[in-house]
Amino acid sequence: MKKILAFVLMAAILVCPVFASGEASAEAEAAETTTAATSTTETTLVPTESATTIAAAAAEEAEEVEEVEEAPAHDHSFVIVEIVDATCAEAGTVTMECAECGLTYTYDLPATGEHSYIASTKEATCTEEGLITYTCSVCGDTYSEVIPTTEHTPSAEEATCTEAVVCTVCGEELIPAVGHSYTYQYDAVIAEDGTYESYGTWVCDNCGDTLNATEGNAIYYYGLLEGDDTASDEASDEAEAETVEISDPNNSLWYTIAIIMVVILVAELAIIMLSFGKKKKD
Amino acid sequence: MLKNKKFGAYTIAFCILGIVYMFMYSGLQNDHINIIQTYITADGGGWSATLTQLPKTVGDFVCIALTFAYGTLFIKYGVRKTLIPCIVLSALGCVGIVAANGLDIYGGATTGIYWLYAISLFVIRCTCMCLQMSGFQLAASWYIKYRGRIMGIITLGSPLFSVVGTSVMTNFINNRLGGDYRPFYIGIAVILAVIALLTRILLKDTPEEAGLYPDGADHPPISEQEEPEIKLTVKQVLSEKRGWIMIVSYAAFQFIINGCMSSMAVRFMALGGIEVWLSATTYLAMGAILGIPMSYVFGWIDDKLGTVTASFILGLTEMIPVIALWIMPEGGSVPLEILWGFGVACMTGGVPTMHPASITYAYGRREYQSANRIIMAIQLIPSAFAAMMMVALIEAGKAGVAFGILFVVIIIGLIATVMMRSIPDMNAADRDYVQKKDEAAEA
Repeated sequence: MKKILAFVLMAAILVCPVFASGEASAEAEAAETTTAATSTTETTLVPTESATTIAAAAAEEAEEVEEVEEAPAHDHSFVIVEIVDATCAEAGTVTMECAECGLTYTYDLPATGEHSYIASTKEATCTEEGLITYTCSVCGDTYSEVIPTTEHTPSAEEATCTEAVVCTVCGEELIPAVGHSYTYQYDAVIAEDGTYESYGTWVCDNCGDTLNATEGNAIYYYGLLEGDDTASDEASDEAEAETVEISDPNNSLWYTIAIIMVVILVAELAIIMLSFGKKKKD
Repeated sequence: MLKNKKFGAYTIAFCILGIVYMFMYSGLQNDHINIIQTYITADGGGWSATLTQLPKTVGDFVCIALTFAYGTLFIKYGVRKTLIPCIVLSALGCVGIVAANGLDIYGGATTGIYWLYAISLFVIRCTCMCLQMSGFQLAASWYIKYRGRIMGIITLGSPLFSVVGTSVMTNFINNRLGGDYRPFYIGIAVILAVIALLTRILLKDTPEEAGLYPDGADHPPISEQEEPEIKLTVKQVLSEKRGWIMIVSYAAFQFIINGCMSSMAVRFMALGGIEVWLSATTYLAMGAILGIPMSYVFGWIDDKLGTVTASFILGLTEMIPVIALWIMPEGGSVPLEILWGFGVACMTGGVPTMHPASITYAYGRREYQSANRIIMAIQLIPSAFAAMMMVALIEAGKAGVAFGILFVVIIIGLIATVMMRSIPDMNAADRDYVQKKDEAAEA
């Protein structure tokens, strides 16, 4: 029995250090895991290189301060816990904390002054100036640039008899219509007795428009040939063509206007002359 | 003159209306026919050129007699009572041309009414003359001291039409009315109706009728205080030496104008064709523009240096275009064409101003019309043949003879002008140049 107890005791003595070293390595592993986790956190908190640089410098500065102002109980191990980025208009901050003692240190980041503008453009037209408006997406700062008016966009290179050149955008008349330039074109048939008949119409030299004569409705003239008239010898075929005499479509209007004018003028004359008579009597 | 506000108002109204009278006279006398002619052609089926011009040609001769008739009516009934019916008749003539139609574009001779056209054109030609005579008569009645300058202002209406009116009328009818001139003539009729109305409202025949004295003075003319007004008869005018001096001097100058102006195109074309004539028209246009101020310049000379001096200068300037055309080489010559243009300016600007001024000089303000109706009527007779003579001689290759005759006529005119010195200025006591001389003598 004594022999069995002695064996158990020996075994216990032998096994205990093994368990003890196993706990220590577990603790070491746990410590290693924590450090790794801390460094992971540190990496996550540093978004930019510049911020990291600034933070490192700040940490060194903080350690120096600690050394001078109070007797350091340990070496601070600062990690960045918060970064508020600086914008174009506002300063930012970097906050660090000592992992061992919890001492925090905040360092200011100056405003960058570099806006992030977004342009919005109102295009210029031939009648109105345009505008480019730049707005900072961060701070809302704006400024504008004027775009000068553009050239008109002509509807054609040259005006025609009836159509002016206009700007297709704003409708402004750029070149007025030149108007028709009519020439009377006709062929005549000369009869044996010296009379002539002519068939023709007024044709615009520029566009070929015929005035008050629709197709097949030529103007018909006749009369005595005077000397070496410009009557054409090529008119025989035309003579057989059906012709319609065209009279002034506004004839009755003009007669009405003429009659009204005559009445007005005679009345005016009568009134004026009668007014002379009255004056004389006075 | 303008110190008297009432007189000043009449002066402004008269100057404006006077320019309008001369402007309308110049257009309706002759120039509008050339535009009508474009749209009434034998080739286009309209009346022939001879028929289109006939009423005006007849009117030119009838106007010789009408000068006397209008003058007599002025004396008997006054200026406005004669002028207003004439203006209204002119307006009716314009309406008649509208109603007569005859445009090639609407059938020409077949659809036009020739008799209505002929009567209308004839009436316009005969009545528009009254516009010019009235302007001269009113200027002669209202002004003595400032007569020349006022004449110079109102007569600028004539060259103004040549420079502005013709081109405006042609462009408007061509471009705006598409060759249909009838709305334009309705417009002229309306303008004439307004002129008639304004003449009735704004003008008086004499300053005395408005309770004023000539030149806005506060007393009657000194030169009219002694001699009573008499209405000169034909016999009285023609039996006096001064009557014939006046007839010969300005008949000569008028003859030169008609002879030169009507034959210049033929002369230039005979010297090298249409190109020479077209290049010469540049200087003619410049001359026409210069003629506008020249009418005032001669009026000023008349007031400041006297009528005889101004008339003599006018005679000398008439030599310029005659000599220039006479010695013009084949193909033309720019320096001579410039001289010719200047001469045309003096001639066309000076004669209308100086003609009434010289007759008023010889007969005075009150007898102006009783003498003018006779003198002017006789002066127009040789002038009516000047154009025919010149064209016939130039076309016959006798341009030297033609311009030689004109030169002799100028010499005759200048001699008659020098003889005007023997005629006293009937309004001398009230004339500007005499007053200046007296002031100088006193000083």
